[in-house]
Amino acid sequence: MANKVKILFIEDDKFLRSLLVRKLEEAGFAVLVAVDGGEAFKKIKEEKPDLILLDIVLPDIDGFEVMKQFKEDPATSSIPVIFLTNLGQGDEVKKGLALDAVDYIVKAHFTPDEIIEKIEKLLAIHI
Amino acid sequence: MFKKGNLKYFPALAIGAFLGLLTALFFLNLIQYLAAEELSPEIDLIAFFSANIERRFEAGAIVIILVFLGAVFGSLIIAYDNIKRIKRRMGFLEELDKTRTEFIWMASHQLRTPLSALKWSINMILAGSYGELNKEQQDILTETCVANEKLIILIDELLDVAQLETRRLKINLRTLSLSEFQKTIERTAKELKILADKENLLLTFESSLPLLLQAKVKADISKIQQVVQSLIENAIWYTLPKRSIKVKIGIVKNEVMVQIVDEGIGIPEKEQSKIFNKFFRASNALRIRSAGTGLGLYLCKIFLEGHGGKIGFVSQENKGSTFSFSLPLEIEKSLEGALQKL
Repeated sequence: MANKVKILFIEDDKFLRSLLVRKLEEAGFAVLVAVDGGEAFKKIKEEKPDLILLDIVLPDIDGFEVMKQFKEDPATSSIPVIFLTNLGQGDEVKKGLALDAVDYIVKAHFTPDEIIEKIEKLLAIHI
Repeated sequence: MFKKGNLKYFPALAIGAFLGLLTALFFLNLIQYLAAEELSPEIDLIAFFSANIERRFEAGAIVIILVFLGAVFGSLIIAYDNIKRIKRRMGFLEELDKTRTEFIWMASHQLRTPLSALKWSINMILAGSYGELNKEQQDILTETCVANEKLIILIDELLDVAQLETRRLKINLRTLSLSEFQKTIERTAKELKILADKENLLLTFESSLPLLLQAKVKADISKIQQVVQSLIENAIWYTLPKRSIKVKIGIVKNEVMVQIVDEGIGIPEKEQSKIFNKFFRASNALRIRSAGTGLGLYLCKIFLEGHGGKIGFVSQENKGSTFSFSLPLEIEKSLEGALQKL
């Protein structure tokens, strides 16, 4: 059990966070959470998660900025990132994928089961 | 040329010319005074210049030049004023555009977040994450889930329209092989077959594309998917049980054409011209299904126009409708490619 896949979920909405954390844990992942960019940096550095689920609208710095910064650090640059957000206006999707995110999920368009399915597929490729 | 706005140039031109004339006369008076200091300043100007032909030309030239300069100067002042006004207006429009874009951005996020929370929680309750449910509870939550999905789709459509109106909607064209294009259509039809089966309708897919044709088509596949989905869904909503819906793909001249043929309620003849209008819903469609935004076909049309494609329909009330859309094919280029391979 020690080598569970570690997922960092960066999300400021408490309810959404509690729902998906439960779902991820049910699916057998070890889940870490961060509620803003600052906390996210700290956890990325200290915990080196296997995958990051990243919201874009956060209380301090936006998700794009978070990603840009930890991608610059060689120790954390290879961690795959999935944007999990409700901004899905084409421009944002492009910007996210241009930053080398492995996927871009609009929350309102996917059920927790579908999100887990996507994560499992990605992990099969990236880890 | 003679726009209303240009009319104010005429008084400016006249006033400028008049001022030019006055300046010229004053200038000539001055010359005359300096040239003939011994003469009385009251001496008649015309008499003075007519005494010397060369001076008459000079005077004429000075008058014409100054009148001309006056007129030009007058017009320039008006033009400058106009530019300032246009600039102000443009600044205002830019500001408005920015506010609208920001509004869409906010709306997109703020409206979708609680809807996502509903979607996720209902789905997790249904999946048993919070304990077993009895049949009645399951049914009621499934209905809630469907209602929530409708709201999500409505918001997506409203955002699409709002984006269109701030010119932010982008069609990202990519060159696809015809078989890739067909696969997308077929997949969308297959996904909707589940819905059709539920409504007791026979949904079929037919292709008459020549298998070996190496043609390409430029498309934004997500938008085309949305169009096909919208058209098939309409066919499903507005066709009574036990009838059939056909999705066809084929080639007409040098275009690839997709058709959705239903045996549904059709569109009343009087209302056919309005069917692609924003928010329009046909009277018989409203009777059969009150939900619906009237945005689906409007968006289909906009998306296809963005592709350089076309959409149209033939319909007869109580008999059915056929919606067809087509995109231009790129045959020559791919033939060149095929030739090179040989």
